[in-house]
This record gives sequence, C-alpha cells and structure tokens, in this order.
Amino acid sequence: MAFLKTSLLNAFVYRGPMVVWLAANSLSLVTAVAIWFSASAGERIGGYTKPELITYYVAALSLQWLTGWFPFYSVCDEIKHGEIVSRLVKPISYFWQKFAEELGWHLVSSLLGLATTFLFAFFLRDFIVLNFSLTRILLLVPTIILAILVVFSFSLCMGLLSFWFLEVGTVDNLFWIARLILGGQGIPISFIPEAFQIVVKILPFRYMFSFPLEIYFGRLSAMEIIQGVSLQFFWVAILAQLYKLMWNRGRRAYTAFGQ
Amino acid sequence: MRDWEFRFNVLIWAVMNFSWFGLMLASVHLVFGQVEAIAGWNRDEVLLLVLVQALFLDFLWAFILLNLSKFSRLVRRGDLDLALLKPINLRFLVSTRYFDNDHYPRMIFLFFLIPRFVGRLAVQPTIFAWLNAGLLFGLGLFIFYNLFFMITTTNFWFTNLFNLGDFCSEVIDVGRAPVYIFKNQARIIFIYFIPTAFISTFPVQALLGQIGSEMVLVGMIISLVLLIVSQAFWRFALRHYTSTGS
Repeated sequence: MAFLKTSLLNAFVYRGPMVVWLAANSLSLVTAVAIWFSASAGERIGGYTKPELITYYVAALSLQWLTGWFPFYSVCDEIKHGEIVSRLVKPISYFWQKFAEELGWHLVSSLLGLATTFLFAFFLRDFIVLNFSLTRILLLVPTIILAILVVFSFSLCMGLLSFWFLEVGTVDNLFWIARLILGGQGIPISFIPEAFQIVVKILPFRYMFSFPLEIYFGRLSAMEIIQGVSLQFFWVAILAQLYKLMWNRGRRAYTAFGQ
Repeated sequence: MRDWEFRFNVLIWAVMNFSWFGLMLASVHLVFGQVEAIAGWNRDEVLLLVLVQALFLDFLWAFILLNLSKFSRLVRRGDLDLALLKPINLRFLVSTRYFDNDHYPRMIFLFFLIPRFVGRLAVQPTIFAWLNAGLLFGLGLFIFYNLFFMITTTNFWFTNLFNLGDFCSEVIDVGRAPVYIFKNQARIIFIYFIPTAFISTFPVQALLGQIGSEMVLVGMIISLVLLIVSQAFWRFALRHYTSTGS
C-alpha cells in the first residue's frame, strides 16, 4: 500500500510528462487516421473497413495507456545505481513492489488516456464502430488484465538483465520493434502475411496489445478466444518463472558500490 | 571522443538504428500489401519519403537532439550555472557540444542508397533539383532545430519535462508520410506551423521535379521567423533563470 500511495503521489507530481506523452500519442493517432483516410484501397484493408481501422487506432490510444506497464528503465536505474539494495531488505517481493508502483501511475494516467480517447472518439464519431456487448465486455476486462501482466512481467525481466549487462537499452529497442509489428501497435497484425501468422500467434507480443482489439472487432471465434486466453496465461506463467530465476541468480551475482 | 572509448556500445546502437530502419521499410511493405496509394503517392514514392526522413532523423540525432536532451538535464540538475560562466555564447555551447556517433553509419548508408533509389524510380533529377532538395532538407533541419530549441527552453519553467525528446521524435515521425494526407487547416498547420513537410515531402517532391524553388523561399521565411522567435524566447528564459545556488 505504501508503494502504491507513493506512486499515486508521484503520478500527480509528474503530470507534466504524462501530458507530453499524451500529446505525442495523440499526434501519432492524428497521423494514423489521416493516412487511412487518404489511402486508396478496396473495401477492406487487411480485413478492416476504413471506419474499423480508424476505430482501431482510437481504441489503441486508450489500450496503450492501459497496458503500458514498463518498469524496465526504473529497474535498470535501480540496479545500476545500487538503489535496489534497499529493496532487497524489504519484506515484500520486488515483483509486487514494482507492480504497486506501476499501478499507482496507471490509475492516474489511464484516466487521462481514456479521457483523450473519448475526445477523439467524439470528433470522429461518424467513423467510430461501436462493438460493445455484455459478452465482449466480460471478455475484454480479463484479457486486458492478462495483457498488463504479460507486458509488466516481460519488461521486468528485461530490466533484470542489468544484473549482468551495463548497457541494456538495445533490448528495450528490440522489444518496441517487436511490439510495433508483432503486437499490432503500429499496424494491425492482419497485415502480416499468412506465412508468418503462426509466429505472431505463438510469441507474447500479440497478447500484450492486439488480442483484446481482435476480440473487440469480433474477429475471433470462440475457440480462438479460448486459445488466446490460454496463451496469455501461459506467457504470464513462463515470465513469472523467468523472473524468479533471473531475480535469484541476479541477487547472487550482484555487487553494489558503497551500499 | 568519449563515445569512441566505448566502441562496442557505438556499434550496438548503430545496429539498432539499422533495425529501426528495417522496421520502417517493413511497415511500408506491409501497408502497401493492402493499399495502392496514400494521398496519391505510390509505394516507391513513400519508400523514398521514408529514406529521406530516416536521413533527416540521423542528422537531427547526430547533431541536435542529443544536445537538447542534455540541456534539459543541465537545467534540472542546476549544472547550467557552470555553463553560464564559460566565455562562449551559451546557446551555441548547449546546441553543439555533443555528437551522437552511432547515427553516422546509417547516415553514410543512406547517402549512397537515396541516389540509387531515385535512379530506380526512372527519374533523372537535374543538378538544380538535387540542390533544391538539399536546400529544402537543410532548411528543414534549421527549422526543427529552432522549434525543438524553443520547446526545450520551456524546461526553465517545467523542470520535470524529461520526455520532451519523445514528443520531438513523434513530430519527426509525421514526416514519414506525405503532408498531403492532411486536408484543409491541418495541411496548413503541417506546412507552415509545425512544418513536417520540410522533413521529407518537399525534398522528395523537388527530386521528382514536382516543385520548384518557391518552397525554398517559404522555408527561408519560416526559418528566419523561428530563429528570431526562438532567440527572443531564449533571452526571455535566461532572464528568468534562477540558479539552484551552486
């Protein structure tokens, strides 16, 4: 609770950077919408109509803020500067300490992201495709929560590489490249050729972002939804085990200066 | 020079820059697997836009953006006091002190790739067209230096804004698409006020012989206005700078 409370207060202190990120995301959305409006194509583009594509990017804005749990840089900084030593003596798992911190930040930032999404949806209301039903909402909530867990665990494991490597920024870059293409954050994964779809469906990136959107647009059968949710659970379990392994090995290998 | 002491680091980041470049090219191919044109621009023309935008980004990061992000840190940590004492123009010092060396490999690669790609488009730009494109490209760099410098100057008041670089990168990413995707007032904004058209659209159009030197004149006027405004804003900000007592 203390970590959550501190993180909530931090979120209000850092409201400026939040607004800057929101402005950056909004500019990206404006560009994406303009591109699809001006695209010359058939009735469907990658299986989506133009209104669906525009809705995709508007919904993606809120999903970015809901699922953007990236403790990577804070973990790297703590390990590099020795601050993690103070965390080791606390009677709470490091995983849950970072989770509580991210939760505090996202309780505030998600509201801002959702408000901005509603604003865009209002201005683009003639093109927004509303696909809400009770079943969809009941499916979306747990899949978004699982997406958060997959992203958070993945980012935490990447950050723990700092126990062994001085420079791990490149790993984060590779993560973003993968998430943009294989996760559907840059363009829908339906654009990827059929031959590569099996790779997309196995890797965790789709379950961090695209999977809830595919449910929203009703593009999945019941069996595909069950498979997708199972894979989300699978990746959460795998990444949790990987975290435990890296944390235990990392602690043994770690030496902090002057702590 | 400091960067070259960590040569492996420079090499790794140079490889990362090529990976991002690969992502940009892959995105264009995936999009054009589904569409025929974007705002009337075909796949090869958009690819050329991406190449020029990548070169623009390399120049910006190599010579400008790293300095601006370090300037943010100077203000936040109070180290600007030391810089103020130096017998050199402060704006010049904070704008030109550092170079991001890992962008040079991609820059050199693009210098060779762009002319070859233009040849593939069955277009034979004249020397004048190349000069025109180069001028527009250079004006774009100058315009965005002044624009981003003004944004960074706001750190004097908003010291918590450590992520202005992210916003600047997003602005440059707009240049990956032709400015004609925007209509009406939006197009006016992205040509005259946040002139992303100068990043790649106008230089590419100059190469393709679609525009003459009239946009060079427009670019010069925008550059001059931004230079005057950014310098005035910088002086205003310095007058209101309060040291942290270092």
